[in-house]
Amino acid sequence: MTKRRRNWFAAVTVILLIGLLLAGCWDYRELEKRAVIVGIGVDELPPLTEKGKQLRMYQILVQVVEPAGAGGNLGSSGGTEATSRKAYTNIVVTSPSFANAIERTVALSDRIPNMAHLQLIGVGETMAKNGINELYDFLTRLPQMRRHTEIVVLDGPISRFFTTQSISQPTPALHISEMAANVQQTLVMPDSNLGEVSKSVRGKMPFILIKASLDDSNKISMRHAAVFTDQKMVGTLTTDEMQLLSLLRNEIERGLLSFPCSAGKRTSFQILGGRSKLEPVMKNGRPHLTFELFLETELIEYQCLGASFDKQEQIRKAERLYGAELKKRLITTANKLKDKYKVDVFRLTTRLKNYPDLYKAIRNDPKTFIEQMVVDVNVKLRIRTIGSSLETPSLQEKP
Amino acid sequence: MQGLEQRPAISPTQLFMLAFGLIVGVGFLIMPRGAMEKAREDAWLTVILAGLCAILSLWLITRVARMFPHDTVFDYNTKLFGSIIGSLFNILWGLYFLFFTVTGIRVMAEVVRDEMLPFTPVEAIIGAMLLVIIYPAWNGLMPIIRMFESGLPFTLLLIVMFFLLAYLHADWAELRIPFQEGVTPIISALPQTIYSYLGFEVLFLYYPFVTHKDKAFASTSFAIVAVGLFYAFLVLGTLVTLGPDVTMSQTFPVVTMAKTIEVVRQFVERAELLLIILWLPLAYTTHLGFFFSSAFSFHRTYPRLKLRWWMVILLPLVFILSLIPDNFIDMQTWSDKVGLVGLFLTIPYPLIMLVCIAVRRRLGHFPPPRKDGDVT
Repeated sequence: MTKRRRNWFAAVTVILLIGLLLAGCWDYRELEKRAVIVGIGVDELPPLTEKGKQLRMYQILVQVVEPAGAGGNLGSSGGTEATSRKAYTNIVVTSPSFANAIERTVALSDRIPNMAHLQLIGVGETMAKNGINELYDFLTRLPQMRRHTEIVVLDGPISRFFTTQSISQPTPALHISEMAANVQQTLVMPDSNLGEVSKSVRGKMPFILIKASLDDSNKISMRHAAVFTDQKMVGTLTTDEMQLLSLLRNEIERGLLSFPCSAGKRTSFQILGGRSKLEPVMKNGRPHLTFELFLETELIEYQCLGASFDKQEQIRKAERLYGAELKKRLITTANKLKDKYKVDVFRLTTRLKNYPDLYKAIRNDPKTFIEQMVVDVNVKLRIRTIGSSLETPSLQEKP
Repeated sequence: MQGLEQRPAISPTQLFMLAFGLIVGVGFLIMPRGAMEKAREDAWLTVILAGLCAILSLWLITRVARMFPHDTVFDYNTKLFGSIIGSLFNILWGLYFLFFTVTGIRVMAEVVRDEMLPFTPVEAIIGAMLLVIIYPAWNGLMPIIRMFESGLPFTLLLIVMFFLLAYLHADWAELRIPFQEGVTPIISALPQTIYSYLGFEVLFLYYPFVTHKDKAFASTSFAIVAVGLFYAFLVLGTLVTLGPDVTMSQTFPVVTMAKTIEVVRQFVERAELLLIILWLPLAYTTHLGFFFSSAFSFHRTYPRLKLRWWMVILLPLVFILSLIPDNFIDMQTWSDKVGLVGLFLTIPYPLIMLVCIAVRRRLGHFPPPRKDGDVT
């Protein structure tokens, strides 16, 4: 074989090989052949007895997006009469195993399940109270699982949540997930996603998840948070408690602080930013923790009539007054939460790393540490802007 | 078939690229786990310490290589240890590079299958990678180095920028003032970390082709420093984004760190795919360099068979060997053994050589030591 012919032969072989390799992906599947799961809801049923042993039994709802339906009317859960295609399908399976339940969706939907786009994991309250350990193991083992997937505790039957209509999102799972993301940013709720849960579970620390509930008109509201310790739900926090706790935990985002000004009237501040620094010290064998809270706020409402903010002293006075009020609230809430749960809901285990004695103490015996802990709070509240109006109008007309 | 078409000439910059491209490969995806298991929050210090150990080892290697400026390690192995032991060492080098390629390629295939192509068999992934490896290796060392030179800086820049996005979600409370637990945990985490620096030992092979031999140590040291900074950046990243407890529980902690990246909500959903796209060129350069070094080692040991024939023989061997371990954990035991051989070849082996040189000098078999700079 001449050199020229050999080169030609080599070039043809390479081109054929490239053609073979680039012709398509090995595992290529059409979108219609994939069951894109956007939400799963899990709740616990009475246990199953098998060969004398009790197995935890789960009801698993898998919400699969329908590509044809999603492109239609987004305002309807089931699509409109005109499109007649649903934007989603809910598949409900009862099984003691999550993997088995997901696989069974193949038989029920003739498509291959794909969890890479999962947006929401809804956990029923019964299951939350009995422990989410088995669900956690399943989810964190999946390589395609994202750490930002929202986890929300559902107060009520999971099927009702996963059929709630939304005017902005094509599926209920996306609606709930979007709501959870919004309340985390605006109502000072904690990050409630798989990544945070994973961090707390691995670090053997308690964690807090958003709790969603349904009202009589089937509207979802997220006004509570669920406290978990040892992967079991042990209690619920109100929005106010959660907000104050977030301030102590140094998870400060935008949120609203409301105080009474006079005769039942309210004054409201929008939180613009801030930080909570911890000053811990061990005194007589007891941990003393002082939270140094600095908040920047915007005055957005002042219902008490006749008040004027045209002088710096008046702003300073308001800062001192509401700062002291906030301090009182924070101390009360901190003591209430520590006495009620006796666990580290304040995220101290991470924040005390640079204080070896205290870190060792909370790592070795968190319960005793929290019980013995003395809490103090110093608040520095700053009003950065009072809005466009210097003075609250008075009802009395000038003579 | 010819071996190397022309004598390679490696400039200091090219040596830097070669060392960097060979060191940074597959290991860094797993390295934070090993480092944090013992050192926890101080793991980034372990990474820096391991880098210093690598520089020390490099110094030993250059001390030896300077004695034989025109020879590769395969030539002076037989001069120092005799033909039998010397040949055995040569075979050890060849096998070491071969198994380094095998373990690296299998780990790469596992990551790609887990994260990117769940239905694709590892055989297909490994086969495709091997075909891409043999193409630049076919014409010798210089095309490989030029490939390193052209691709690495851009890839590294992109990968650093990519991981900076993970730092946006950092929880700096996870950091701790160093040495709170003393130095023992930092030192005890060294063995798992030092494996990730293996690769610079190729200087034993390519030192005769370095154009400015007086700058060989500096160029390779800079590469190790750059790798150290990159590794410390990653370990710190996993620490502040995942925390030590999660990092220790993950199969590939760096991939998990990439999963914390969310650029715009529901816009870039699976950032780890972007990481894999950016990381594959880094893994590729390591496999390519080690595969070529393996063929080069066997060719220098048995020069009657041409370099390209060695590649043709080794390619299916790498394919078959990489499929033997049952799973990733099984492959990790292989990696650990290869790492141990690597540690031997980078620290005790050059020390033994230096002792041998000193003894042979005393016996009058070798000329007295050269002055600094008098190397060519």
